[in-house]
Amino acid sequence: MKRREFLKTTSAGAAVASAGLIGPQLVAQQRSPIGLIPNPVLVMVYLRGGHDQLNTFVPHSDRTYYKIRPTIAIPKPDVIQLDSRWGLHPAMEPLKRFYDEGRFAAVINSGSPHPTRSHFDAQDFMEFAAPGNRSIRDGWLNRYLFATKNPRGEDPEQIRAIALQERLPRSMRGSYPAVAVPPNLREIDEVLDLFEDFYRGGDPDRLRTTIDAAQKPAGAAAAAGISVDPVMASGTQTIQYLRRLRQLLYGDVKPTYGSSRADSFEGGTFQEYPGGWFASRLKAAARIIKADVGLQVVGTDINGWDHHIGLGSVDGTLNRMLEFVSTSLAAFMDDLGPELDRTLILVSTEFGRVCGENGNDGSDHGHGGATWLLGGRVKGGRIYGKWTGLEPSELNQKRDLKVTTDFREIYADVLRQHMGFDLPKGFFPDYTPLEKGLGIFG
Amino acid sequence: MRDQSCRRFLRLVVVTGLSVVPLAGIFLQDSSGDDAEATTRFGREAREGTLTLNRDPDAPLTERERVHHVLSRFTFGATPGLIDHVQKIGLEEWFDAQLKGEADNLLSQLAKLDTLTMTNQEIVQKYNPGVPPELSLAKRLTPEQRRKRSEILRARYVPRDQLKEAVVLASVLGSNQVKETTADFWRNHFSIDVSKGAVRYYATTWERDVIRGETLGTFSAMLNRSARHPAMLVFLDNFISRAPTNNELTAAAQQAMAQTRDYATVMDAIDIARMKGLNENYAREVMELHTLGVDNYYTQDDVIALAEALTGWTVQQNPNRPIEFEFKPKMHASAARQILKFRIPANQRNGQAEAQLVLDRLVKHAGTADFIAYKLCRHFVNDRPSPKMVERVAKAFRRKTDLPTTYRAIFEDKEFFEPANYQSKFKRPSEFIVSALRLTEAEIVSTDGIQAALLSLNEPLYQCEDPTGYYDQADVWRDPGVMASRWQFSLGLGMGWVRGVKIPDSFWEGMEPNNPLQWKEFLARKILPMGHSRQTDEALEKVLAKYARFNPNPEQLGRYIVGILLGSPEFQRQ
Repeated sequence: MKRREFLKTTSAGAAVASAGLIGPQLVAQQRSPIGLIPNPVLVMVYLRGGHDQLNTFVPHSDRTYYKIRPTIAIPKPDVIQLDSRWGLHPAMEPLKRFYDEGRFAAVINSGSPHPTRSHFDAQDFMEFAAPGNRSIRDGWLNRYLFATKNPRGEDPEQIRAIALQERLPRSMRGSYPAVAVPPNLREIDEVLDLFEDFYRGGDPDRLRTTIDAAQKPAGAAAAAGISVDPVMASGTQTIQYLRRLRQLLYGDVKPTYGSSRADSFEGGTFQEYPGGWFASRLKAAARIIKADVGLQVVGTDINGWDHHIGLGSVDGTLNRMLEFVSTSLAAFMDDLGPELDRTLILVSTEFGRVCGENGNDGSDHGHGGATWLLGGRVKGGRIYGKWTGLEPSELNQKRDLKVTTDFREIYADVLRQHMGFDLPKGFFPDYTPLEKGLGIFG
Repeated sequence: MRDQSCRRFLRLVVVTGLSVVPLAGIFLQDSSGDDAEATTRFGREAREGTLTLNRDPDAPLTERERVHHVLSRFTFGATPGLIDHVQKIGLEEWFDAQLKGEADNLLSQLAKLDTLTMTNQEIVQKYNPGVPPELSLAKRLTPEQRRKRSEILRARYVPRDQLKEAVVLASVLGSNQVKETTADFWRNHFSIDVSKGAVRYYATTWERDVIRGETLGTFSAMLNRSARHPAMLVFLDNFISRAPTNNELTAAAQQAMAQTRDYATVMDAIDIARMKGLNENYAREVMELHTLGVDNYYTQDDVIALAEALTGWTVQQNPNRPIEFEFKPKMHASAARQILKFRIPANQRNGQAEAQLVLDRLVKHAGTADFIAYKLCRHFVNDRPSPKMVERVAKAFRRKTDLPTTYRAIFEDKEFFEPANYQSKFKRPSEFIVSALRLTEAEIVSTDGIQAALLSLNEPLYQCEDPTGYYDQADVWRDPGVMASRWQFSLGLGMGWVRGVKIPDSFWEGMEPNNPLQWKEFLARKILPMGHSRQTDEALEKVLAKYARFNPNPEQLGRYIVGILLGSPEFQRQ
């Protein structure tokens, strides 16, 4: 029995916590209205550029939709119908069965109340979860990680947060040291082996002293006459951390040069993934999730949703990108198997696009957009959010979808109900999410 | 084939018998605890311990160390030759000559980059002529038309790529390194991102006129030029900022709907009206990032008032006329305002003068001197500069905001040469890469491989998304992923795997045939001219021992040693 499950099944959690044995967040989880999800994982996928809601979640019974998008609307026969109002873009076909199984939901007309149409601002505001506030410099996921870290130092066997890309997404940047994993992790063990001697921080005894000193406030360490060498420490961390990740992902298999692209995974069930970097990243994420090393937050971005030109109908850029995303996500969810129960995939974008098409087969920056939720305990098979139709009088500035669900409501529910986090007051500056939540999870 | 054998060799060199001691606590660290998170008026402080040095940490700097210290901060890498040269002519003389802008040769390598001397208009005309209507719909094109179209679209990235190439070449090869290192500071201080809209066409003149043009000039001129430069006006949105009027959108929509039922026409009318809002972006950042520091001296009311005063500061972007700053009285809201506790009178005849008074005020503001001095000291002296030193540098800055005077104040400050500052800075990724290129005397045919390395080390040139610029403190750059990428770049540069870059044959002259131990000494002196630690030496010996056992291609060994030296702890410091 795992420790967290033990805590869940006994009422001793609070007593254990007050005795200082576990952090406060575990107790908080007991208050979660839908019960504790053991070892929850959040996979944050950010669609940069402003993903188009209307051609992804298609209001196929709305005549205005076809009127204002004469060239790029999805023809009714091509729409994958979900119900009498909603349908999916045909490229979303791989995700249809998850919708049917109740594991895929979307919140339409969601987004930020801030009126900006700048990618730059809108992404910042959303990833810091602080629209209009420029003094917050820690991302919302980083704030969560920081608030729930072990006050006595993190367990070295655990890997809580990684971004499967070169740079951390802004939502993960900040005071908590989340790790951006280099994409060529597979070929990295040579340098780790090679530089180990240069970065071992001296003999083990001396290293011990260095670590002890590093855990103390700088002043105390200096007073104790110990000088900490962060370059050494960082090198040693790098070697340990990446070796561990590499081991998790690739086992002891050494890459063979010349065939490094070929797959050489061994052991476990083999899930077929489509090609492409996004699928590879998800495949890596699935491995780490299955390894059960305390992974809580995974971040990855997909750029290129700014379809001013050539967004297209069933044959445009959006079609290609949705196919790329949905086939990869479907393989990922299949691969996770039972682990999907504790893994939530949250797909966000900074804003949706203008309802009407422009003259270039595309659409410009809009306002309300779609948030996708897959896996975990999502009550899927439903489209959430208030739909206000496409009549100009019902639109934001007569051209975009209104935002009827503030993105912070969704993020709050993800943290409270999926991650089991007791959301502190002021987590979102100047914003208090609904006490009850949106009812997306159950 | 050659690469294959190198890589095979790499795999052979597996160091044995050493397991990593578990790093409880500093693994995923917040090592120093909350109480070490002291904040300054300018934000959170770096949580950095003192770096251990390969010398008595308390001993005063020797003459050669003093030279090395200055060259570590005011050049992108002190080669043994440069240390000798400066020691010979005298540190003062060298520094003075650089401050006067001497030795600022225009590099012959830059001659092929035609955009560097162009105006904004010339760049846009040549590289962004627009896609002709007959090529606009990609799906209906013939293969020939497609090719033509993608050629036109690709050209739009030429100015950006040339600019990035020029910055790297100048940093590595430029002989006025004080100019190069200080330009690097200001490029990051007034950070712009070429990924945003038309910034990519205007960044070339920005680098030339604002950054390089004023880094040995005055802060006053640099701030004023930046405030009127199309790159900054677009990057921070001031070019669309105009005074708000009530119900403007509604009025525009109603008016259009009264005239037509055509949806697109109505939308267009609203579009135009939409652009007419007030945008606070630049007004905020000019105080927060460029002059006073976040939440120092100014309030939200000041931001709004300054944004209103700045309405009408826009860009003439019609490519048939010079693309430059333009003040549009029609976009400007003229009024008397209180900004920074200072009365700014309305100026009906010259609305531009209103915000100008605020800029003048900001240049002279004590808060600006404090903030700039703090950032300069953090960059050139120590991640945690002493407040006393900052105060002295601020005093030098305040007189005329003359930048050479300010740099000189750092150089002359009694604290600058304190042993605690020597080798105390962890190189930023770009500093690491440029110094590696300098120390290996690398020949650069193209910078593509270097730009890719900058990207993988998370510091691509002119592409910081945040207007804050890249972090200047070490702790942000010591991410495990980034460290591994440094090692890969080190080894790659040594082995000749970095695209477009080659260590020249002359670099290896002086290596005695069949004497690997001499190679180690010889190369270590070139890459780490001030010596290296015993641990590094032992680790090197181990690699050499492996070499002897497996006997790979001997000509690769020197390259391998260079790669290792570049990735050593010593080389990460400056």
